[in-house]
Amino acid sequence: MHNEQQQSPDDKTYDSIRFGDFKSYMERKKRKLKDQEQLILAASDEKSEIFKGLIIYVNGYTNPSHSTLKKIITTHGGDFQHYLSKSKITHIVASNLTNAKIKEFSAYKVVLPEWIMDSVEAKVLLPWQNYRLNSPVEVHQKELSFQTQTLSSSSNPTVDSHNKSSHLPPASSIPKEESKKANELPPQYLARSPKGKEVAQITGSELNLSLLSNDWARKNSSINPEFLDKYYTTSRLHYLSMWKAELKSIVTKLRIRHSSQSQRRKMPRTENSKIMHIDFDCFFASVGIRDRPHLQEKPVAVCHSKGVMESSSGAVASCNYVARKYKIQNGTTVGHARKLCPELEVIPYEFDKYKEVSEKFYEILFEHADDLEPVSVDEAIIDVTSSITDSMTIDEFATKIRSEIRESTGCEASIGCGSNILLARLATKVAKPCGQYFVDHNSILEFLNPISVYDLPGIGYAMGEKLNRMNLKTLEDLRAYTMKALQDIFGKKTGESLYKFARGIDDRPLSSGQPRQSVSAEVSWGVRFENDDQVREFVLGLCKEVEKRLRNVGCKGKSITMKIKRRKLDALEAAKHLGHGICDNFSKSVSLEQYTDDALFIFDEAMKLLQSYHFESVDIRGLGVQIQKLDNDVGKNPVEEGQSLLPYKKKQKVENEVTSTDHAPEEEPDIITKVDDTIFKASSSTSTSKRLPMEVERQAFHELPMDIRKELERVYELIFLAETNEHNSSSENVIPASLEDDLHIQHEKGNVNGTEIIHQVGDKPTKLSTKSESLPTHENNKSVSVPYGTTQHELPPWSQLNPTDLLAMPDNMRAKVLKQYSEREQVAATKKRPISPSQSHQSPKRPRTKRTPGPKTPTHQNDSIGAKRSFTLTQMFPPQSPSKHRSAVNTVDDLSEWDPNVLNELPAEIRAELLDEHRRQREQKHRDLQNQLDSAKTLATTLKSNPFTVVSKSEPALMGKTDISSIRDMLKAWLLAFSNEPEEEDVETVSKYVLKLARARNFHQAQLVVQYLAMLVNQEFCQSQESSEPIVVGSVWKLYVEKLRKQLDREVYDIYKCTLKWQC
Amino acid sequence: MPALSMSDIVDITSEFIEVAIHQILYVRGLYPKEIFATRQKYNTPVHMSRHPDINQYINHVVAACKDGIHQRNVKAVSVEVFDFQQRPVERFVFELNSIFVLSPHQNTDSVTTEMLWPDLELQLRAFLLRIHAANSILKPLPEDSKFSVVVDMERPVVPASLQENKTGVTPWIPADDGKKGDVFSGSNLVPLKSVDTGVLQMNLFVQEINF
Repeated sequence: MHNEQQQSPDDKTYDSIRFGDFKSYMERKKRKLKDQEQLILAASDEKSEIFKGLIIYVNGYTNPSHSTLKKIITTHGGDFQHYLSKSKITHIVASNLTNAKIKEFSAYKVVLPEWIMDSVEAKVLLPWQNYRLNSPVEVHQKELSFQTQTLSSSSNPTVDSHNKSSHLPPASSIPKEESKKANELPPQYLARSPKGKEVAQITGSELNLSLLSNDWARKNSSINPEFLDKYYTTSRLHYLSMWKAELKSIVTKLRIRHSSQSQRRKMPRTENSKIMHIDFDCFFASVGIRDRPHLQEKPVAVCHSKGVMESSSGAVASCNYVARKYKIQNGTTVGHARKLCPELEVIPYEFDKYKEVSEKFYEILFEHADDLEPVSVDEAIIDVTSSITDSMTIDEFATKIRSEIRESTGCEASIGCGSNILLARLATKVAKPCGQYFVDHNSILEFLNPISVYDLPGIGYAMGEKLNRMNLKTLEDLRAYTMKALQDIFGKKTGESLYKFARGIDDRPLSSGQPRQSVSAEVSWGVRFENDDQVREFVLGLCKEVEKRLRNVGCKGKSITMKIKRRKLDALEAAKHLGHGICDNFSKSVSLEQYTDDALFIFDEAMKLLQSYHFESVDIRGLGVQIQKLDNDVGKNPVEEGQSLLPYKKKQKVENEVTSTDHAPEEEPDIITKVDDTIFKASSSTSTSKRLPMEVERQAFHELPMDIRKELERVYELIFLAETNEHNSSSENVIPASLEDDLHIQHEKGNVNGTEIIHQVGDKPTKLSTKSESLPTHENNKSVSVPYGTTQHELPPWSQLNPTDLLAMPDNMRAKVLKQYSEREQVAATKKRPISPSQSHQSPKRPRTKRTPGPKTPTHQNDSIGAKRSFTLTQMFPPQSPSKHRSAVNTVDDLSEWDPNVLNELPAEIRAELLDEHRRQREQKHRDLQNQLDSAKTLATTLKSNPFTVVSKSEPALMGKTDISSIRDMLKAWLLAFSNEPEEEDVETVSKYVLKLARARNFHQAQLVVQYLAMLVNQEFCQSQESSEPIVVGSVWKLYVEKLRKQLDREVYDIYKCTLKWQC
Repeated sequence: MPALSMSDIVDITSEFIEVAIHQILYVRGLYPKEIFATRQKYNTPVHMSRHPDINQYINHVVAACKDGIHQRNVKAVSVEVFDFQQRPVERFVFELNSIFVLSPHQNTDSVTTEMLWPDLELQLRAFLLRIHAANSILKPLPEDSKFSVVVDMERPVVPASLQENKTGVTPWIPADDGKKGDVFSGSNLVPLKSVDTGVLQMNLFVQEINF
């Protein structure tokens, strides 16, 4: 093209341009384009002057195309502009403009390309106003009214648009915001289409007028004062929802009665859990058919209307499987269903029968279920884990339940079973109709593969669309995505559950006891008002209904929500007779100062909310009053609410109990299992004098099985705690009970005692159960070697705990969980103690004849001072709290020096005092241990709620000592005691300590320890060099010190690539 | 007496580093003793430079890394000493370890420790004492040694140029080479003192090059 142009002779237009000379480039380009126009003009034969004087610019994509328009405009005398020069042009042609451009062009005449085309057609310049660009961006639904006047528009656009805005319907029917927005629009762009239809503004009052002219409608709409009462007595949905609420309360009651069963459900969900989902096959229909045997083989639907006319709008609530063959579904309108299947039999609702069947159904389920989640009148999920044994497979069990249901109700139910709710529900879909299906744990994936994503719970229309777009149809497709990917697409929670569901994982518990979240009364059918008084009357009725319901469930609420359905302003009368039709939904809530269930109070607030909208009463199509933040969430029954808030509390108490008073038994059992029988027998003769004291509550003790009691008797010196019970208060506070005594007491009191215990359980459940639980725990540990923390099985291991979960918890709950963990850790530490070097004397290789730990056995320490090899550094320095002073050490020794025999002969209170002291010592030690819990606990502190205190990470300690001077003393005594060679275990203890210091970056102390030891060794063995023996012996020490130093050096080198500088 | 909060600890730590740097300069004789004045800090006499430029330098370095300490992003603050030929001689390293992880939205003011000020003061005094003691362990510095203060960051950060406008503190510049750690590798390490406040553990040691 360029070449062509170059051939035509002209002035400088076609000369080459210097680089960067943009101005002349543009000028020449424009001139060239004008030249082209001349060519076009010359070529065309139909010339006219229609557009003479107009300078037109075409913007963006148009139809006809840019070049066609150019041709047309030029041939008809217009000036076609290639570049937008705003000062020159008269019109802009565009069929579409962006928001920014709309603003930019707001001062120009922007017309549609049709204006050009039509003008050419008409051979005259048409008024451009009719072709104004109506940008889709700015179209508001509310602007329909503008179009009605468009055709009569004058040539003056400004006046025109003003007229229109003034013709707006009364402000009350259009939200103020929107009408304001419309006014702000530049006049030219107000809605107008050349082909605008005339749509009359529909007013609510007109609609109502026509509707309410019908007598029946008048009677049945909300203007009838009795409307609400009537509504609530006939509404099917209302009936069903009330039923469900009733059902829930029945379930709760039954659960309390079967409290032993609810205990069972505390077992964690495992793959061995058996969850059943039981669902009646087309409940309403089959109940109806049951009593109409002649309908057995016919297509049957349940609906409130007979549906003789095709237009009948009642929805089919339920239809049998014969009807389903005709593609009739629940929800199909009767009229349509009739078209699909002309011989369809329609039967009415029979609520009484449904209720009766449902009650029987639930009765059966309660007999079998460990736990039950009522889903609806005809559907429930039960946990049957405990019923499934070898002799009763799940299939047989399901068959049994189904036949029981059939016999009792005469209807068929389908059962799906699986290890969790998801699998059970999906299995039911396979089982239907009239069957059962069990998803075996081994074939979960094969089972899930073909299942459509739509069948997953929580996948509605929107989610399904999204998945569809991703081409995810089945769970198999879904499983290809990682959790991260799913979370990115669907959000954190949904993504995770999708991921899990695709793998058949579902850890939702049976939510049987979910407390009520809200109480509401809503009506969206038959709501028609003529004036505000009727509205007030109606709202008052709703509030009274809400009050009634609140009082029924026995709670009060703190938040009131007003829900309003307002007729969409352009909507016609609802398709369904007296239905709400197409509506805009509004809701507003208000929080109250205190809980209320008072109808008048609620009414005041609700009216304020409603009035704040300034809706016309004639437009209201539905109203609802909802009360939230019920007081049952907070105080009344916390058991039902959170996951397992209460168990934590309870368990905590148990732990406290264990750690504070029953410390000795905590560690004792382990040791006992280790001691072999002969030793046990040998020592049993002396055991009476050396038994450890244990404090027990007599009643708790009595509740133990006899053999355990015997064993406790043998092992411990039992001290019965003072009892609060009146009856027992006369007995002595401290009884060194022997088994004989105990048996005697038991005998005497016989039944009386037993009943009393039960009575007490009822009275103070927490205290007693705490006690009785804490004791068996030890026993379990002892005899069956159940892993520690049997009382804590609800918590996952710390390592498996997701920190984000922790963070997501409410503060107080998180604190509890963390406490629970730290306590568990504590127990773990106690359990491990006997194996740790500090307790090494208990290891089997050095049988000690006694099962009491070293520091507590006085005779041993005294005896063994002569025999050097038989005690270790650790025994010499029983772990102490760093904060405790030396005097504390003395008291330990003091006590240890008491011969148990002497001890027994002491007066009771002195002995009690001594034992008390002893116990306190032990607790102290226990606290030390607790201090040493490092990693898990440190993490725990980091996660604590905000604000919080950081506990300093405990310093590494050697035998409970952290300050260098006491450590020096200890090392010195150690060296002196083992001048030959150190004990292997002690060496390890010290090395560990040094390395721990190094890891805590406390190199200074580490170096000091090593240096001091080196100095000691040097002193000790260099001085006594003369004799030959110490050299050999001392060399072991020297080697050891050298080794320690090297270890420390290596540690330092690993961190800093430096070696320590030693000064000696 | 209330326990120290986390932000207290951060303030005290950065202040202490400033004091300690002065002390190191004095003890190691990097400047003539005359330019130092005796002040009282932590209930003990300390030496502080009187030269405004030195003071400003130290002050700015510490102020610049204070934010980093707050965000637990400072690994170590070290006083590096080079001889007149720019060869490394020794360095005092204040290593800051934070085992403690705050969630980003957690306010440091809300975090308190179990530490009381008198206890911490005692520890800080011990630090100063150990700096003095280090003088007897370390070899005397060569004549005309120079020093610089280097901050090791946990995560890379960009010098904040805006900071200057706000606080009047000169923005810091990246250290010459990222391998400066290697310069002191193989040196002798003299551990001086460490203290753990629960939220922040400070560990002071000297690395001395063997000639």
